[in-house]
Amino acid sequence: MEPELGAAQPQFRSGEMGCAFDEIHGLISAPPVTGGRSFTALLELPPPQAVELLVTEDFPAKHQPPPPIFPTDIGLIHRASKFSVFASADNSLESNTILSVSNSIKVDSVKQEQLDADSHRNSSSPAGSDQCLKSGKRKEREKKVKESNKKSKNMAANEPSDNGGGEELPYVHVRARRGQATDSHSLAERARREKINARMKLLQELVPGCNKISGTAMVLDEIINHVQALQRQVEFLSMRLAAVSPGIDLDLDSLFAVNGSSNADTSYTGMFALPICTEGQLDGTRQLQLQQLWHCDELHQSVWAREADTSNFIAPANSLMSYDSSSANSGNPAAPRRTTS
Amino acid sequence: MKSTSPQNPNPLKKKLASRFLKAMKKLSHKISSSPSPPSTAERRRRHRAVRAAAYASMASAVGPRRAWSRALLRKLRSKATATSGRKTARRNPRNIGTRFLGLNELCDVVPGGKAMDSCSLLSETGHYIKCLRAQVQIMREILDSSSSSSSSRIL
Repeated sequence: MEPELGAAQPQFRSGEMGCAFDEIHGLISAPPVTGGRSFTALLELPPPQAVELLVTEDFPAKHQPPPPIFPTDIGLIHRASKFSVFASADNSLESNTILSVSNSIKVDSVKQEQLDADSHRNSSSPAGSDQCLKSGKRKEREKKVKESNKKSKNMAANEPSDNGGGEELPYVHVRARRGQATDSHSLAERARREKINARMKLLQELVPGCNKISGTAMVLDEIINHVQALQRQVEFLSMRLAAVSPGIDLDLDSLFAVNGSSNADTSYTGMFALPICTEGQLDGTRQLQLQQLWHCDELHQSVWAREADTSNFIAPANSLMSYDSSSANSGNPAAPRRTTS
Repeated sequence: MKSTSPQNPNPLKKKLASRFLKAMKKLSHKISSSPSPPSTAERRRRHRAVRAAAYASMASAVGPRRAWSRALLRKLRSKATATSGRKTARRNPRNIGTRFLGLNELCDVVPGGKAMDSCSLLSETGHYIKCLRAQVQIMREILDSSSSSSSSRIL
């Protein structure tokens, strides 16, 4: 199997063929997994790669370099083969290698007539016509190809019915998994649901502290809280900036700050815990607000605790020593938010 | 989360930073022309201007490719033209039925969320969170740099 692949490597064209080939190569190197996995196997991937996969499946015609590491998921192999197969015009040899690759992993049986059809097509290629036929049929039957098949009309990588050069079949046969409805509506719904679950997982990775929570509703609450907290921070920071603004030399210093600073940027709550009081611009109301700030800090303890994952409050020394006359942290988290856009 | 280390500014952050700084420069020119002790109303106006500049720079930096950036820019422009009293035509909530309850709250938070289906809403949320986070970092860094520089001047 591997030497075949190696031999066929130079045959692949660069670009999408190379991409597909990389996929397959990664697939081979990974330990094989029993077939029949669902789309949710994609979720085992690290999230950005899962997103890439999702995107690639939506737009099979797009050229996207896939990430190098994959679980040996049948759907990926088939998708890869699909990309490569219909992307090339005269690819009997390549398709053979692809099909033989997928063959190494799946062990289903195959109808005999398809074998013959394939053998006609691949008359020139010596490399296992049986294998490519088997895997070709397998590709047909694989459920995971369904979504991309639905989108890429007839461009599924099935054996050609008539001509030897083309790779498209007019019909796609999909087998659903055991114990699940097979009508198109439920399949579509299932695909949609799995897509949504994948996105939810990505969001979970993005929002700190969401990994431990189980259950969609709580995770969504966390996400909403996180977004609202970020918007509040923008609000407060803009207030501070508006107060400071005339004094800022915005060209050089800020650029240096942005590019080179390695402050405790990951602490989202540090600024609330350390108000920078100054006498310059604080009027009475602001002082009061600061008091309230401390007070409300306890009230919203849970929120801050969730966000202060790194527990890396902004270095107190820096903040307290900066008796900047114009910087004032006068935000009040409990105050009703003005309409932030 | 971010593939780049904090020392290595990722391109998104650079773009956001440059835009935001440009907007801030514009604002600070306006501010420096006015008398130095600002009244409360003036302060509030400045605050709103900075906030709008932050969101506008964020939205324009990501470009029109994202639904939330488009919606955000639309909202900001309509605010700028002060047509708050006008009732914009509400699109039919054709997506409300297909989404479950938490997403309704999410679409209120994320700009342009109401007109999206659940799937794209979630991906837009992810991107929005990333950009918001970067924007907050930038603003904080600006503040820190300004405060540190001024403190070095004072002390």
